[in-house]
Amino acid sequence: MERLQNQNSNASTSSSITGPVWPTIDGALGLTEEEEALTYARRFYKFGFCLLPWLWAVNCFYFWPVLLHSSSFPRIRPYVVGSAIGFVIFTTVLSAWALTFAIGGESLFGSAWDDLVMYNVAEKLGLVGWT
Amino acid sequence: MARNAKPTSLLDSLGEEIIRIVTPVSICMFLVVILVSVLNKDSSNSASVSSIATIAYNESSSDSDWDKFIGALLNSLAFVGVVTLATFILVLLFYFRCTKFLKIYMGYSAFVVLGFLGGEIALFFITDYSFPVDCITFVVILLNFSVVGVIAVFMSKMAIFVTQGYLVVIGMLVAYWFTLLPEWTTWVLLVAMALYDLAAVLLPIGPLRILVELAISRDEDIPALVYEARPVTQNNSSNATGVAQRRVWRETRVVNSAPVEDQNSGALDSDSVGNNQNGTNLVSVEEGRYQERISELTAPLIEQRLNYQWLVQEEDSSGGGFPIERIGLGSSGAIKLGLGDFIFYSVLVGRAAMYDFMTVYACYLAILAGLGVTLILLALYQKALPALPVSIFLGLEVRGEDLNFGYSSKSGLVVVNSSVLCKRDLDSVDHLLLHCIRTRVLWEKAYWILQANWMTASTGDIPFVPLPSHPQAVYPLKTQGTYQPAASQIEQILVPCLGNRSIGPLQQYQGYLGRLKPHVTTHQPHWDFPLFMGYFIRVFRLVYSQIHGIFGVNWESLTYSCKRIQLKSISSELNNPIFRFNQSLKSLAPHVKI
Repeated sequence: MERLQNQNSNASTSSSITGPVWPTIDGALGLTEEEEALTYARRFYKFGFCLLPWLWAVNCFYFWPVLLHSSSFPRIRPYVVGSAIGFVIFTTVLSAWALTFAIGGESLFGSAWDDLVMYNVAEKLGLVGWT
Repeated sequence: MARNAKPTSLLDSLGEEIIRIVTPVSICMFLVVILVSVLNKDSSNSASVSSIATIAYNESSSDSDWDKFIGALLNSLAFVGVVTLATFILVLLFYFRCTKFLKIYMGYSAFVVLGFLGGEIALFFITDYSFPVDCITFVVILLNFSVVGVIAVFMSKMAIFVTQGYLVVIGMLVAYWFTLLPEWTTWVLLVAMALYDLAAVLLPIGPLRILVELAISRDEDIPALVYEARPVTQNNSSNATGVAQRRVWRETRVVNSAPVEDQNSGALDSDSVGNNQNGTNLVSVEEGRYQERISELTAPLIEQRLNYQWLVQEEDSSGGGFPIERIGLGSSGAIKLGLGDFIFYSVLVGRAAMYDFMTVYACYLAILAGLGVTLILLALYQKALPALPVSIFLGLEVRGEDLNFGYSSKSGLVVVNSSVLCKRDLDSVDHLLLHCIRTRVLWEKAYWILQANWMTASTGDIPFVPLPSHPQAVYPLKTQGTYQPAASQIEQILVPCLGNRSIGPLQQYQGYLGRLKPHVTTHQPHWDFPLFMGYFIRVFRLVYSQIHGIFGVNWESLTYSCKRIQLKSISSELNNPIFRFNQSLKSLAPHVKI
């Protein structure tokens, strides 16, 4: 409660200068209480480790004001920044692999390329058989 | 920022909310059209998918028309039967407060749609275009996409944009799947679903109505997949004190009404909720590994389709089952449209896309007109309404007309670049979208329903003067004087029924349509319900016949039926120049000098 009032007074003083009032991108329609926002940010951050970089990206998008204003919401910020870093790293690794696969082709991988490429796998498993 | 103390009018908030509903519907339809046109290149029309919807009869191109029709009818009846059963099961589950189960089922169905259907369609793309993606990347991306989608649908406080985007994607995927059904089955299915929707929502024994009443009496939300538009926040709510509340799924607290002070605004607390229909797992009895697998995949799919096509304010996730089409207004003032509505509108347009694009265009406008009518009715009636019937019937009507004009040959000597729609003017994008007489008629209808009087500029920004060789009249444009009689006649029809509301100007639409401003006049009539019913019937018939009217007008029957309602001004209104296209220009606008 105190923290909330603190945040509100912070918000009212900071909104006259800079700084967001709400932690989420939806403003008044999204999460308004800091505790709840903290729970959500933490949960998204932890779940993103299950090979879910997109969840990290959504986390960053959702808490965009926290990311933008570096001095606001000090408790939420570490999770959001962690999500952003995680997303960038994962995307870099994944796109590096995908580009290598696509551009390298058979010359790089040899026979394994045919085994790995998706349309062959799909045909082998019969996933597109019905059209 | 200055606070706008003037009470917001019905039309202000309704206009903004309509935009926020029409945009995602249009996006969904557009995506389905793209999918249909890109993916169906090598598969012919005879390719069909076994599913619940074809359980009774599998159409093949060698059957006669009558056989196809009977088969399609049987299919549709079976499908509607499954949907009804699923809805009743949903009502039962909701009655016994198994909301956790419903929510889990909702998440599961979203996962299956996004994961399996989305994966299937992605595989279609990959195999058609031989995209060199490897299976690891593909699996990771698909997994990400589905899991985040389930989370977005599951959790109530996710980013609005993400949730809305995923709901549109789910609608698009299911709609594309439906367009793979055989042709006759699709059309008959659309009609059957529209009729079912009408029955289920409006009849006292209808499952949807029961569900809505249960939800209202308990002040709860129905778990279903429903698209909720972002609520329109007024100026006085933009500060921290007035937090616009979105009614979230699990909370049964009393929702603070949206800070819309005007009681005439759309913030009506109609608790029409989208119902989740729990689909029953109807296992296909067809043999073969191929078909079994399809039935496994499509049975939960069908179950998921028990999205209520509600325009309700809840983000209900629908479990499977048949979408129920409904419209309601949320307590936060946002309009909710059930996902089934998205799906069936997109199916209609997607099917039309298999023929040609003019059909798509006309169907799209018809659907928008129907949606507009339904939204207006929603605002007036303030209870759950079926969203499908009007749009589907207008759309089918347009499709049924011979819109296959084909494109005029540009190499011909006589006809050079004439417009495909009206064959009278030069063909151009501006002309097709805005200025063609037929297009303008359709736009005029849509806006007329919203009480706006469309004042359009002519092609090339000069006062439009119709050529003497074309006796068919077109609108005289851009003059202040000409449309006043028209406006007052529209007002006479619609405004008296809306009660004592002042109507402010509609928004101006920027961008491509920036020159064109809908124009609304202010009026202060009084409410009269029986009069409204009479007017409504006339409006509906007039709109219906106006679509007919593009191709030929049957005024006599219309006049006759209107006379039976005994409203004196009707026949004069029917004869007023706006609706008459077969007269000379002089009679249309006698005071315009030509």
